Amino acid sequence: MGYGRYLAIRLLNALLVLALVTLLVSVLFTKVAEEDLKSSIQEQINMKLRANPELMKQLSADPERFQQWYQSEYNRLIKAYGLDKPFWVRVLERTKDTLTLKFGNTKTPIFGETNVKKIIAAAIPRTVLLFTTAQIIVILIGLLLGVKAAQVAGSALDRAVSIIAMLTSSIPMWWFGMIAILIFSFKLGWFPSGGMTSTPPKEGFAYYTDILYHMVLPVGTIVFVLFGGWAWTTRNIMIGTMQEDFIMAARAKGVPERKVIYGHALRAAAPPIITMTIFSLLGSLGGAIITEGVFNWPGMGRLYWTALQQNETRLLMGVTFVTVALYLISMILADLAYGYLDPRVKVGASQQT
Amino acid sequence: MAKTVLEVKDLKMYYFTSRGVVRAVDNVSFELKKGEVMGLAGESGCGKSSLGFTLMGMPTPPGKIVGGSVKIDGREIVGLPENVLRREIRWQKISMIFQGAMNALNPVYTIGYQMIEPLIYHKGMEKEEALDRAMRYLELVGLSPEIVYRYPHELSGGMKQRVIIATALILEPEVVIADEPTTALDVVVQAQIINLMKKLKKELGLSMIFITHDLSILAEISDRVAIMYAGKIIEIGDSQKIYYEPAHPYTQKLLAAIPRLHEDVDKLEFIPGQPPNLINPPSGCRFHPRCPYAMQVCKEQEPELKEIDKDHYAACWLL
Amino acid sequence: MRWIDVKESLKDFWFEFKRQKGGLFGIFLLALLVFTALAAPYITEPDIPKKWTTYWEGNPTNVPPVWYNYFTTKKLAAHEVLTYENLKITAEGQDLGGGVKYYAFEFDYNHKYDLPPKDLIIKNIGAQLADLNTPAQIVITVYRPDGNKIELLSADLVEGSIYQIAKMGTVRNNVFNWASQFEDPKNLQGRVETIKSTMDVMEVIFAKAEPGILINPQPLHGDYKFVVEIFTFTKGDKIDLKPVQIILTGRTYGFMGTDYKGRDLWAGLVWGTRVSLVVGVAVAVLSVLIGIAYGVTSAYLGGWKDEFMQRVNEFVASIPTLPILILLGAAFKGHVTLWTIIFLLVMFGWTGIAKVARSMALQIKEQTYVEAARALGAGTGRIIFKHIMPQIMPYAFAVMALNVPSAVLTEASLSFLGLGDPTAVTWGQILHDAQTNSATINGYWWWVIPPGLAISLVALTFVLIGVALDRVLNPRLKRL
Repeated sequence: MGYGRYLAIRLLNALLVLALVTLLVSVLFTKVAEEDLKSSIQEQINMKLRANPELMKQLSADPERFQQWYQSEYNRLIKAYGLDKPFWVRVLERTKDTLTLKFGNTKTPIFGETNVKKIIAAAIPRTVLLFTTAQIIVILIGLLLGVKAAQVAGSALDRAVSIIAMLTSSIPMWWFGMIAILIFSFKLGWFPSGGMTSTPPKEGFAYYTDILYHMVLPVGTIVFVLFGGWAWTTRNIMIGTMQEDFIMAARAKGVPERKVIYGHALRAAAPPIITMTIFSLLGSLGGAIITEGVFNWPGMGRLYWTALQQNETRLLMGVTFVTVALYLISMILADLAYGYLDPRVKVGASQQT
Repeated sequence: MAKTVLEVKDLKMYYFTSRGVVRAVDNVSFELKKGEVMGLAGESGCGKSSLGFTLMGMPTPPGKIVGGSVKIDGREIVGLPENVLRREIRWQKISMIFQGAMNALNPVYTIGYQMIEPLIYHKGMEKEEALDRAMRYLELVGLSPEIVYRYPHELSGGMKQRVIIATALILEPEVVIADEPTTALDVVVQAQIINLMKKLKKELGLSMIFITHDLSILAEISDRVAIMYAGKIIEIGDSQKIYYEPAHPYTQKLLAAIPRLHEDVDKLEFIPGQPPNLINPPSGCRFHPRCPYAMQVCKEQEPELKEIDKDHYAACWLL
Repeated sequence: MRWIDVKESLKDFWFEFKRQKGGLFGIFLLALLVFTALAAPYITEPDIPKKWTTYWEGNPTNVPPVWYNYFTTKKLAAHEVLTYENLKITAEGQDLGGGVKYYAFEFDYNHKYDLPPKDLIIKNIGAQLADLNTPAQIVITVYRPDGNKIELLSADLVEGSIYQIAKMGTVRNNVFNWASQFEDPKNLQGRVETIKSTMDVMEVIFAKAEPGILINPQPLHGDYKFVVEIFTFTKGDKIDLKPVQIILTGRTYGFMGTDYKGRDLWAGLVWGTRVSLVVGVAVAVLSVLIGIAYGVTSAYLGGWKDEFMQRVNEFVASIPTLPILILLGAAFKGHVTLWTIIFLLVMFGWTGIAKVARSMALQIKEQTYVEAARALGAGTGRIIFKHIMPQIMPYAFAVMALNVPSAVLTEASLSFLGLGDPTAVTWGQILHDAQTNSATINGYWWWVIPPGLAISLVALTFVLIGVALDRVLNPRLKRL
């Protein structure tokens, strides 16, 4: 099938996933919100009573009248919050809202904002800053190391890479972050223990170097835990590719060794390497987000922590939706890259002449 | 007298594996003259493909050349350092037509890119000029020149084989080794390729070593034939003589095993036993365990190639 | 497959596997972990899971392990609990006349550390009072090795009274007043209130009586005698000293220290093994089995049914696990059990192996012997079982082993976020408590390091085993 059709199918799949996930999110949200709202309604009625001592005196004298008043207040508020509509109607409304990015507000301000959409919009670039920087470093180190290890397969360096990869992929990223803070912040005092900027924030150029300074530990953590896996995947795929006949053929043709490895082998290995590594990086997006929480970095990770600690359901829904959407986008990008790099996909099925 | 383009003397190439030393090429000697096609035949695992790669100076790892000499156009290549081999010998002096079953074409590069690689690295040609030449060679092998823009997966098996042939010829080397070029193809395409190669032999005066396990093909195309068994050449000579008067029992059995189209076949002939273990070959004549005429001396001493007739040699105690 | 065949292949397999040093090391680690998990009630106490969510009375909180003393210059006091047998009873119901009865006991404490116990707690004095308006009186005095004595406390005693020397305001005052007589007045100028409220009472009690005692107490080593005297005033008052408990809250405790609830982290570590192993292995085994069943069935059915099953597979595989799990965990907060987690992880985990199993099955399906079997009249199920499964199963074990680490890590991540099973003892949960109680910033390394190491160890074990199994059993690997 052609490249276009290939992409279209992947895109459709992603949209379907997004829609269904949003539906699931909305179901959960509606259920949880319902209980939240009901208790909030109670609170409101109570507050109204307390604010109006006259009314309270009147009502406490007459239990029947109290009942009636209470009931009417209750119904009024239920209607105002839309809780009188059937469950599925509410779910669908919420789904529509979420898909159009209307996330609502949080109970307390976060990052100085209550509009969930704005909060998330502020958090995303900070997460991207951290994660993308780390990713780039991981890719560079991992690729170089992996190719080198494949070249000298079986040697001490190669075995060292395998061991490092196995060790580091067993470590929970967020725990390693805690260790990094313990050693480099608490014990040695070299780096700050969290946050993106110092308080009060610095001015001018120092502002940027300050951010870099705060990035060292979190980026270091992410890189340390991920580079081994990437190096190992690259190494394995490269070794497999190097055993292919066309590598031997290239050598027979007199192609210089450097070109054989970086030109023929790496290029042929690129599609699976790219895909496997993008998937493994996507897999660690969750871990990286939790790590952000550990470092109190004001990005998506911190939003997750806050939402969970403070029971901010709307925030949690919004963040989940955005995370899933980002995940799916990266998946599509990975498929795009794979398709582009592998002519068998890009150019389409073989034509018999 | 035509000049000798390839001279092989006492060549030994062994594979050093964890299970032992495999004596894949054990004391092989022969000559190839310009414009001559020499067929190299034998069972699977007899060492013929190993010999092919060895002649290019790139024995498959863990193989190593342990002795003997290979002179291409008078130049000794055994012992040459890798970068000299790469820069001056490979593909320029000696090239290879790979087996069709092989994945010899990189799926992520176009045909054109892979064909012009040797031109760019060895002749320093410009891309335009190189592509031009590639297209001419494609036409030579009967393909449309615009294939340079295609990717390998877009071609059929037969087309890919032709591309590989064209690529092998593009630097006009002295010697071309054809390693089972027709094995993976169906009979019809096989015939096409053989005809193509006959045509190229005539038009370009190719000097070629044609490796195959299928003797019937060699009859079509080779001037001389060498039969390999267990890493050794046990019979070599003019192909007519070998076909009509095979001297070595093994050759006789090989030829007998080919079913004739126009004869009644009651029973298929075959050679009993299994190919020998190259780590621990049989003593004396390596064929003796399977030879119907084996004598005592065959078990003890290894026979040398003896001249039986003009341009016909065989290694057997019977002769 | 005949038994002889199975035995043969097992022998071959073991021969190959033996050469994988990593794999052997992994097996060794696995044995260690399984042993720890099974022996948990014997290595620690059997009722740990039940009391895990409570505060552990009597234990010091946030203290490092006992062996930490080997690595510091300032030796920290160990945790000691004294009971009736350790006390020297000097008077039991002695009649002093006028309806006053006198009880007294004393106990010694040898202070050889640089930092004394965090607290001295006296509790469980059985007091049966005839008249609650006239409580008994308790007087606690300490006789120091340098001859000085401090009257720490004189207070009411009723049933259930607990006296915590380090925390009581009256004790603080008494100690401050006593110590001021030795202190350099210059140090006290203008800072009396500050010093009084921030001083470590225990350190001062056990400090050298010299200038600087209040601002920089130096430890006074030697034997300290604590005397506790109880007076009852009403006829019918009964004091029972048998249930008495004296707790000298250590600054260290146990093999791995304690957390903010005073829980023995060693116990937590040991018991956590069970959860990790069970969750990890259960998820891995179940997802692989389900995945294989799915993939093989899909390949076997072929046609549009196969297409459809593949779409479903792709769809589920596209859902990012962690965000959804977090969402579900948050929605059902507090009601999540380990089995829920296992179920969810399996729901997300079967897709990868299903794809691989399907392609393997497709390959095998094309083989002639399957056609032969079909020609002989073998039914679908039989073909799958006898021909396809035996070829896939060995590789399946490698995949199972390789799936365990991610299951363990995901469960740990969920627990770390506080979304796991609140009644279970898991390492992720311990780390969650650490993070929310600022253990890293406070340098409570014994709380932060071991649980993570344990998680890594379990993951590493299965990575080693999985990689070794893969090298031996993967049908796609070329072997020389």
